[in-house]
Amino acid sequence: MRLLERKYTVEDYEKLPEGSPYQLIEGELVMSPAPIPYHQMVLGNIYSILRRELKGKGLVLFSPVDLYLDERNAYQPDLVVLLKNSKAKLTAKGIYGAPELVVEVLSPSNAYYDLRIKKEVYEKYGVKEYWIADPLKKSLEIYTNREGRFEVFAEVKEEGKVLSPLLGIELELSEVFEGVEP
Amino acid sequence: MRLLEKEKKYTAEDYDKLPEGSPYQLIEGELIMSPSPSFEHFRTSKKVFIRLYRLLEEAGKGEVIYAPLDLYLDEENVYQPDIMVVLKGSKAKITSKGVYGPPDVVVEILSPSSAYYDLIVKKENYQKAGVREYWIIDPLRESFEIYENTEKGFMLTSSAREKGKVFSKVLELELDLSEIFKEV
Repeated sequence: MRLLERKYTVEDYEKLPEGSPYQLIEGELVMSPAPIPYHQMVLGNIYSILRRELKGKGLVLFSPVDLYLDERNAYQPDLVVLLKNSKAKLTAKGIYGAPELVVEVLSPSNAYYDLRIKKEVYEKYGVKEYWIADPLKKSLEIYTNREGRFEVFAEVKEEGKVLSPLLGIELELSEVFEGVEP
Repeated sequence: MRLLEKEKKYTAEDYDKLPEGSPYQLIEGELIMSPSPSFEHFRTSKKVFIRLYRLLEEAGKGEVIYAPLDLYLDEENVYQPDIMVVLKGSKAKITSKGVYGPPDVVVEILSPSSAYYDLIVKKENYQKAGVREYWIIDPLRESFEIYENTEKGFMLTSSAREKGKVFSKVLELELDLSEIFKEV
C-alpha cells in the first residue's frame, strides 16, 4: 500500500506568503519552527567569521533566503557562500543552483533533513563543501564533495581548529561556539 | 551565555515518577517528548520485530523487545528504543521495570521529528554504554545501517538502501531490505 501523499512543486512553494516558515524538501512542505537561541548565536558567529575572512572573495548570505535546486527542492539554508564566478545565480527572488558552501546549524526538531535528505540533495547538485554545526554538542563537521559524494573531511568537537579546504581558512571552535553554554 | 530553561536536569528518579505510558525519554538529563510514530515507522518496526522474533526468540537465542519498554543506561539516560535484543548471557539485565545495561543490539527507526537524538545524542550514549550493535533504519529513504561497537567506537559495518541485504555480526543473521520496506 502506498500512502496518500500530495507532492508539491516550486510553483506551489512560490504561492506561500513571504516569510512563511516552510521549505520544499523532496516535494514536501516542511515547517521550520523558530530556531533555538543557541542556533542563532552559532549562525551569527559563523557569519561574522566568514564576512571577516572572505572580504571581497565572495558573498555570504544567511537565512531566510530561498535556494532553488530543482522542481521539488527549494530550501532556506542557514548560511551560504557564493564565491566569485559562482555557478549559482543570485536573483531578486533567491539563489538558483548550488552555492559553493552551505552551512546548516542543527536544531533537534529538524536535524533529520540537514543530516540526511538535504545533505544528499546538496551533494547531488554539486555543493562543494557542506558544514554541519551542532550547537548542543558544540561540534562542527566539514564535508567535501568528491565526484558527487560528500566525504567527511574533518570532525571536531568542543575545542580545536578545523580547516576549510574550499575557503583555505582555519576556524577556531571557541569562536564558532562563543557564548554557547548548553 | 547559559539559558535559564536549560538548568534543570532530570534524573532517572524523576523519570520513574512519570505516569505509566508517558511518551517521554530521559536524554542527557532532559525529558524529551516522543510523538506517536508515523505509519511507515510502525510498519518498519513491526517487520523487523517479526523477523528478529522468528530468527532469535523462537530459536531460543534471546529476547526481542519492542517499544515502549524502558532502557536504563545511567542516571541521566533512560530511553525507549524501538527494538532491543538481549541475547542469552548478555550484559543487560531484564527486570519487571525494564532493561538495565547495554542490550546486544539496539534498533532505532528514524522519524524526522526525533532523528537528531537517534543519529547524534543517543548514538553517542549507546556507544558509551557498550551496546554491541546499533541499527539505524530510515523508512523514508529506505536505508538500513548497522554500526558495530569497536575500539574506535561505532563503525558502519553494513548498510544498504532500497534493496540488498545487511549483515549483523552480533546476531549472525542477514536481513533482506525487500522484506522490510516492501509495500503490501
